[in-house]
Amino acid sequence: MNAADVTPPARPGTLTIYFSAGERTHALAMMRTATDDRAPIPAAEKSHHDCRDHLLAAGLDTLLQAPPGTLRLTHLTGFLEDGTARWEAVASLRAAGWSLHAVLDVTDIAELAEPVGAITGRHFPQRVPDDVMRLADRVVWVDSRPQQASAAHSALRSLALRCLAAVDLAAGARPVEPRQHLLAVIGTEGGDQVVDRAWKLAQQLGASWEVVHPHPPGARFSSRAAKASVQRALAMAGELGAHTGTIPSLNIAESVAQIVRAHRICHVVAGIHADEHRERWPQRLAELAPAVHLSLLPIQPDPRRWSQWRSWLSRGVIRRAAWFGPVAAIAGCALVTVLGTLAHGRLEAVNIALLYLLLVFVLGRNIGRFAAAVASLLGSWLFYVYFVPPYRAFGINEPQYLITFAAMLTVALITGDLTASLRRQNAEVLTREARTRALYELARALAGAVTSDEVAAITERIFRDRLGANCCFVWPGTATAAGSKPSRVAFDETLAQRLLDASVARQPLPEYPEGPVTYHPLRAPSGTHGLLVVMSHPEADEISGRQSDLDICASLVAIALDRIHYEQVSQQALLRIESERLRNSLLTAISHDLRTPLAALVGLAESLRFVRERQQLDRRIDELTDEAGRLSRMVDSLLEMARLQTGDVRLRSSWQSIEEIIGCALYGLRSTLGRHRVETRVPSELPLIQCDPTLVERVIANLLENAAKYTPAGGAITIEAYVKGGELAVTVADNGPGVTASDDIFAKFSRGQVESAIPGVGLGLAICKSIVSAHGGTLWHERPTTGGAAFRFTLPLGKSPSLVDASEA
Amino acid sequence: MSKQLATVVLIEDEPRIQEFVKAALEEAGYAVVAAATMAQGLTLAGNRKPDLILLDLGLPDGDGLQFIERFRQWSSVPILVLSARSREEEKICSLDLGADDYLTKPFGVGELMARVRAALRRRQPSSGPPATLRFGEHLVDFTARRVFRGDEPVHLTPIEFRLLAFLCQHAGRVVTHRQIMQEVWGPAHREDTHYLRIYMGHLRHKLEGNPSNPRHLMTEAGVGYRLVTVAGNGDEGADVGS
Repeated sequence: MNAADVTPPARPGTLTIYFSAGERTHALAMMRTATDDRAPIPAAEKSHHDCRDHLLAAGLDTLLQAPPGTLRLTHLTGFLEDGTARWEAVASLRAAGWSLHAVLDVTDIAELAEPVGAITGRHFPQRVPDDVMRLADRVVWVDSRPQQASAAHSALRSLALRCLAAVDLAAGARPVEPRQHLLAVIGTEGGDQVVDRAWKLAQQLGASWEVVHPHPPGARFSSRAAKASVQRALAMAGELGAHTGTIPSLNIAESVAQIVRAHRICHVVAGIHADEHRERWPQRLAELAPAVHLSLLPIQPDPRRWSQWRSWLSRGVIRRAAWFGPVAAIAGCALVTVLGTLAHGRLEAVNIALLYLLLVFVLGRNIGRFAAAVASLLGSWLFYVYFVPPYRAFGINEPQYLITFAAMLTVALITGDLTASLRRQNAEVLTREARTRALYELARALAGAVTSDEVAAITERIFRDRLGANCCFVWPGTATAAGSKPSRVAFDETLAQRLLDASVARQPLPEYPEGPVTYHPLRAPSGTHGLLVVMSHPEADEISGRQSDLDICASLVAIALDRIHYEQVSQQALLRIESERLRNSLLTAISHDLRTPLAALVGLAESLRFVRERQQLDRRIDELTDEAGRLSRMVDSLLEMARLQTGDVRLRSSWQSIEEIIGCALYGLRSTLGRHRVETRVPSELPLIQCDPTLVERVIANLLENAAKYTPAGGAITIEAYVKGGELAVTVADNGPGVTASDDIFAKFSRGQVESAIPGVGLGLAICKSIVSAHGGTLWHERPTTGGAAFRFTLPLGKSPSLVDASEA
Repeated sequence: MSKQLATVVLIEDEPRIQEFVKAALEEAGYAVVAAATMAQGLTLAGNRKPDLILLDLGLPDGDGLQFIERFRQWSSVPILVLSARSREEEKICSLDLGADDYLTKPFGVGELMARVRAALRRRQPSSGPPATLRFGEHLVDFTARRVFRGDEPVHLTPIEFRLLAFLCQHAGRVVTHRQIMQEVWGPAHREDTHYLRIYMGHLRHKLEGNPSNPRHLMTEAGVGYRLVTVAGNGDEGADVGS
């Protein structure tokens, strides 16, 4: 089974996981089918952990050295002899270009150990992390519906499905819409072979595929085995990712051709009996849809032939062309006449008349009214000529003849009518089925749309592919049609605008002349979202021509747009609430923190009037200046935060020396820092950094100011810069009381202590954080073991500029 | 206070600021002529023979930058820009147009007076450049192209000396990166300001006690450099050092 592929796989390799919920055997079978391994499953592999497969036998190193091939793994849990986890070995093999197929069960996943244990009551010792699912290029979900579905099983199944959904979400990839569609037609025999072949072909082509079983409406299956075979094949196809269904059909070729046209199928796979060629529908299909590529798969016939006969009859193979009816009628009449002549002596004339009647009935049932009428006319005349005395007298003089003729003609007309109405009903059923499918698909696709553009794209695609019509949208407020290709739909823009306006104003819609273009307002509870303009193809069948169906489509689209509209509204409401909350916190902060220094300013200014002593006056003036300076810095902070907040921060980066920036910050704060001991530790050989000097100075100044604010006079403040791991780090530490409220000191308007006497609006650290992250660095807070507080930020070191030209001249 | 030190033309449209600046300057003994518009300012600057212009950038009848441009066509009297805008481009632009220094509002009286004195000091020696300059414990000898720290000579490379000499020529004033690059390295290197950072670093390590907290070779963030000859710069000087 470890057969290396003939063709070398592209690097890196692929990993396909067959994922199931407690149905390892089923998954194994699926893997075998998928990898075209017809060998029976060795008994050893059926058991779980003790099997020796090739990974174990050959060893990882041997495999890694060998040219990459295909490897099937019965499980991913456990370890190799050298102690490597199997799933890790699989990861290395995949990287080395191997194509790997592996069976994985939900009970194998380490992250699910607890729920699985709770469900099954068993402990599975060997597990793999669910990373392996993310590693896989493809995860095939092997679904299983056992006869008696136990609660435990369905719990496991839903657990597995959730796990699968999580992996899908993590992958985040939207499925790429395949350009090609493939159709597999299965009969009552060999369906699984056809499905298998179609799946491989779809894989090769990267096509989406669907599997149908054409079945005469209302007819029963020829045997229970045939029914089971069809169901099995359809279920298997569903598990492999195909759309499946049984289509009511009287004529396979025509039904298939219809699907081919409607669904833009490019490839049809069908089984055909190896030894007999009675099934000629593929040839007929080739005539009806010449562009389609047909793959026929020979199928070994069922020994019970009668079932084929029956299906052959019921499918109405006899009918071929317009001339065929009368010819068949004449031939049938001739045959009955010959038989009647031969048996004339032994049969009553009445019985012979019944034979003619039978012929008329069969023709009416299988060919049509016209053939039956011809047969009734001809038959009644032949009966009269050959079986009513005087024999072979061509003149008609017996009124009885008229009764025979009338009876036969009536039978012909009634059966013909019945057949025709049956056909019509069948066609209607088919149409309705296609319509329902299209509507269902539209509804499903729209459910996932999140923008109106997506809605438009989805609707256009489904109209094009499923309904054979082009459509475009007219949105309110836009003069022209908003569609992907407006040229595809030529419509009356003035009329569209009038209809849209009427619909928006909730007025009755103006009438417009019938034609290939129809207009459907997108009406939803919240109002009219736009107008859907549909242009049906002239050759398109009644599917798209039905006004009511298009109205249903329009209302589906309108509901989707309505949902998007409300989602946006609620999102905006949330945003508004959030900004309202922020504004409130800003107002609270301002009312306390800005008013305090203002009150001090007013008071101090007033008090100047009563000062008599020169010394006291000087002190008051110093206090006034201090308070005003503080207020000025707060306003600066608020303005700066507003600027950073609106995203209006443009970095004017250039090569800067951090020593210089630190010097600048210290100079700017020389009066604030006057009562503290400041120590700088800046090595002389620090490289230049690319940054905005004023903003970085602001960060250092804010940190220094904080340190000064919260450290008592005489305290020590240390500022240190050093290079570590490709980054420049700057630390501002103090020996003050440290930060007590640790959680959110970097948030806006947050301060270590609420309502503190120390002035400030609590914006400093928020500003620092924004600036540092704008530079691609990080800012964080540390609690040094020596006490106090330490703030550290890093800035990325770039490649320093060269100084070649600046050498000493 | 008795004798008039110099005449200052103050162009400022905000009456409160005009009032307090005027009061502070008159208190220090300067003669102050105030204007509230650019047109008035240009007239006064033309017929009052000022020694210094104090200019607000935001004027009701035009941009202060236009004033600098026009005034510099016929006079080299120092201009000190007062600006409420803290945007670096505007400062650089005014300096490159020919302004001598700037002050960002809000500013203190001490800072204002220090800048005014520095600007006027530069104007006085019209008898040619000085042969030596002292700052802190350093002595720069321009003729011998040598620098001393106390009695010890300090070795400077030619570029370092040119850089220091240029800053000395504009002592007390801010010089933009562009001006320094053009003067010291030549017009070809006008934009390569990272050279400047490295050489300023070298100069500080050779001349400053604590290069990361300099007292003389000051950085004007985002604008340029300033050589401060008197530590503390006149306003409340705090001893911030390790």
